[in-house]
Amino acid sequence: MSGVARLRPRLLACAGAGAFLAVLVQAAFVTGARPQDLLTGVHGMADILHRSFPPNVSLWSQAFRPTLETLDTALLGTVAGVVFAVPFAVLAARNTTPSPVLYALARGSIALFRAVPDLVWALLFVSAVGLGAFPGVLALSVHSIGMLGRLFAEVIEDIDMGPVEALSLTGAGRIAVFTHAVVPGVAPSLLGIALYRLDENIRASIVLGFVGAGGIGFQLLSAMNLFQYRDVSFYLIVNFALVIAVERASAALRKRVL
Amino acid sequence: MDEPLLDVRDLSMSWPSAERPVLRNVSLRVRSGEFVAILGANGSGKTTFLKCIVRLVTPESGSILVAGQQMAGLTGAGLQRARRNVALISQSANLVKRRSVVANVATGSLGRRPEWWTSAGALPQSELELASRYLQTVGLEHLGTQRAATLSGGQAQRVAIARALAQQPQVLLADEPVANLDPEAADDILHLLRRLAREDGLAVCCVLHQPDLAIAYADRVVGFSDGSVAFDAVSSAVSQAMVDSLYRSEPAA
Repeated sequence: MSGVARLRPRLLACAGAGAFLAVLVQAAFVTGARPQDLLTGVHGMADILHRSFPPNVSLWSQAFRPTLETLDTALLGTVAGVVFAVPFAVLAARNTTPSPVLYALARGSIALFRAVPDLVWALLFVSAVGLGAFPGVLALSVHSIGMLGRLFAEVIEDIDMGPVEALSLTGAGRIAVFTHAVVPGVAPSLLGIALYRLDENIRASIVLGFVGAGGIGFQLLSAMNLFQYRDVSFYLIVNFALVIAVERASAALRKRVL
Repeated sequence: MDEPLLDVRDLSMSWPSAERPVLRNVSLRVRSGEFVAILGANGSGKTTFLKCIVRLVTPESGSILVAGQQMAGLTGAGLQRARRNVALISQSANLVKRRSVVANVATGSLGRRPEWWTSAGALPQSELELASRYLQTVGLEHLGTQRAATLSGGQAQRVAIARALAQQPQVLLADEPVANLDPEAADDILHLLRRLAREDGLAVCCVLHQPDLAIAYADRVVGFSDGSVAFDAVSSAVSQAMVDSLYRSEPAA
């Protein structure tokens, strides 16, 4: 082996590392990253943290309803998303779609629902139905149809077609074949994905409160706008507890069904 | 003499890209209570022949009568109805692995029930009890509540047979049902198929790759060669030379 040939992999690795470094430098430049500002401004953060303690736990009775609203927004949004994502996924899976036109329409709709961020959907629905948790539910359902529709369609496309063919040959109709051969095969995977979505939607429904879609997010924003940092720290603790509780519950459920 | 339950005449079929037809004027009759084995080399058209009967593929020409009902030319709801009379067991049992054994068997009856009745995905108690009886027929009533995923290959194939029985067909087709089984399990399955023909009056047509098993269990052996019937003889009349002639020159795939 010649010297150049021996050095070639190393040169390629160096060139790759150099290119990656160049990409990182441009990213830092574009985002205006200035780590030194973090050091010089640390006293500002320390001041806010100081003013946040102790958390204002006397708000617990006022926090109950917004917390429930956040949880319910995520729950309703996820359930509605699952209910509508299933038919979209059936139409968007190559092995179950009844026609190529419906396949293209379903794939296109799913992509659109996914491409528009839930925050933008929330703004649209707030302008349609007003402030409150309901536009949050609508925003999360539409965005969830996009996210779940694609994943569900992929699960359906991966099913074992043997049982489907076997039941079709018994003379069973299309719907019966779907409910008896496709659904039992995909249901655990779909439930697992839906539970992950519920996790995501809890976090999303907190953020949606910032644009007027109710819940604990709205309380958090109001407290921040009024510089009530002890209230902010309390709401953050509530958020943390809510996210962890739902994460644990969905992980336990996933363990049971998968 | 009884009318045949399966009466196939002059069946021909070609794949669009193939140079030669897969089936050329194949005729076969199977009567109630008869167990017919089909032998032949790979690519001789055995599996395509069974697929034509259940209309998984569409033949170019020929007639397929199942219990007096013409299958050739049927589409949509007509084909769906006609398929109830003929069950197909494949090399793979094709069970829904996450469902119980008894639920898998009960799904065999879906075609006999109205669509609205079966669409919700539930199986009523009466249907599950009937399915248990079919499991008893194949000797697996004790495994009814187990998940299908836990079964051995031989057990899964027996469950597939029970599901086919739940369909209450008059013609039972089997495409290499013992290909993945050990010799003992293979004997069990073929013994069961022969019993179903003799005791329940089914017309059984079974594709096999083991000439010794075909001769031992079937009433008649049909040899396929290059898409046509090379011989159709009672098992006792099948000689080694006849069997050898089937495997001498395998057509190119």
